[in-house]
Amino acid sequence: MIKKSPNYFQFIIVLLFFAKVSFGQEFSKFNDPGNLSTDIWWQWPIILFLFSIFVGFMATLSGIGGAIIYVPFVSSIFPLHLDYIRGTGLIIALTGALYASPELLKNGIANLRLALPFALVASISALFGARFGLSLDPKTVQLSLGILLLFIVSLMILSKKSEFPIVEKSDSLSKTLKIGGIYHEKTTSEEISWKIHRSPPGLILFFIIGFLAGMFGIGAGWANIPVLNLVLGTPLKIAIGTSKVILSVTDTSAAWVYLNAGSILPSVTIPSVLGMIIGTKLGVKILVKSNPARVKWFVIILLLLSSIVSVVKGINLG
Amino acid sequence: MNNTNQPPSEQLAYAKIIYHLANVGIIAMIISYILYMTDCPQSFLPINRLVQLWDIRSVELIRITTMPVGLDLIHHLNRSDIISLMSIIFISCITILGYIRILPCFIKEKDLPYTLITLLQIIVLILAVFGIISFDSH
Repeated sequence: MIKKSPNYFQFIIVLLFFAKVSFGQEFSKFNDPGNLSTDIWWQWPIILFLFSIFVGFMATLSGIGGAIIYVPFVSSIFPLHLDYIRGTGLIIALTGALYASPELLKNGIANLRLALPFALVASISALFGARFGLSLDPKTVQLSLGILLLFIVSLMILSKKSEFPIVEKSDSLSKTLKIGGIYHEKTTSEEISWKIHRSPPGLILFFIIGFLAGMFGIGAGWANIPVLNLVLGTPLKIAIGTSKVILSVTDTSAAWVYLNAGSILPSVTIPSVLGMIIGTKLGVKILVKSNPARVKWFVIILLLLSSIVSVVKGINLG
Repeated sequence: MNNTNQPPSEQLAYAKIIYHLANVGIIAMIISYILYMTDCPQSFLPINRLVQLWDIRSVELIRITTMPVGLDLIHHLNRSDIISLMSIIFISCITILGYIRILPCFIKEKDLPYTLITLLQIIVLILAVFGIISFDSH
């Protein structure tokens, strides 16, 4: 039986075509803020909104966070200072995590007891990461972002996920904190019992993840999930669900550093967040019909391109 | 360890409060942004001026425009851009409110490790809110 090919690429092309036709001429002016005309300001929120729909759509289909696509892309294309883009990236990741968490927690896909200790460590380091990121010059941040993206792309290509990792024995810390449980796997109607190990190295890794999330404003799902799944031995579904809860805490602490530094502009953040929500909802509708491997490779190529642009931009900024 | 597949009560309580507050936050964002775009009430920094300055660092932007940050925002709640920012601030408070909600659950269960973790997390986030562990932009 021949499966009908999903038409999400057509949707993206139509969206980009619409943006190009509507704003093409003005868009070139935006690359030089000196050329900005005050009478076209209203087109900015629309462009960001449409762009964020695209990002949210791709993020959902590829299974990675929206902020990780948003931050490098917007910083490569739009003439906004990296401070505001990173601040917006954090609010995008935070809103998405808050939006998804309740359902995941109610269904037992996310585990609060697992999230709380790791979120505490990550949120403390995120504060310092955000503070450090804002104190660095944009050239260094842009260059480091490009290098980090190259690392993330290689992680996406090379990392293997384990659906049900084998944990022989819980470590003493996770035993004390009573981390573990049983969840109902709907696809097989099985009750899956799980526990974790290697909590102390896990805490160190979450400290590093929190720092990077705060510094670059790119969320942390890309790192949370492999650490929860491959290091701590959490079943993949629990890792994905719990990652959202940890993300909401980590990004809350980092977001406050950006808010207090005046690095979050509602004119940039709100259309981006709302666009992302709509894009995510569209993505969810098409997800069932999509080919995840194809979308994942499309996103890998996009991230690779933006990492190269970030590195080049970082070298050229002066 | 939870030996049933039913989420524990504190997890359900956390999910419930986050769900309601996130929805309120999104609605607040939409309404406040419409106010901002229509400049009703008048914004502190008109967006047509802002687009000419948003390629500079936030520290510079604050210096040039005297845009309020932190607790100073309270004095400018009659400005549409500040109202819009308040909706983002509300979103950034949701996790803290969620933690405040579950703290009594852990106290009631006499779960000392999680009571301490939750309490410590609330303290960390409140310190972040007040900019005590924060970026000194001035």
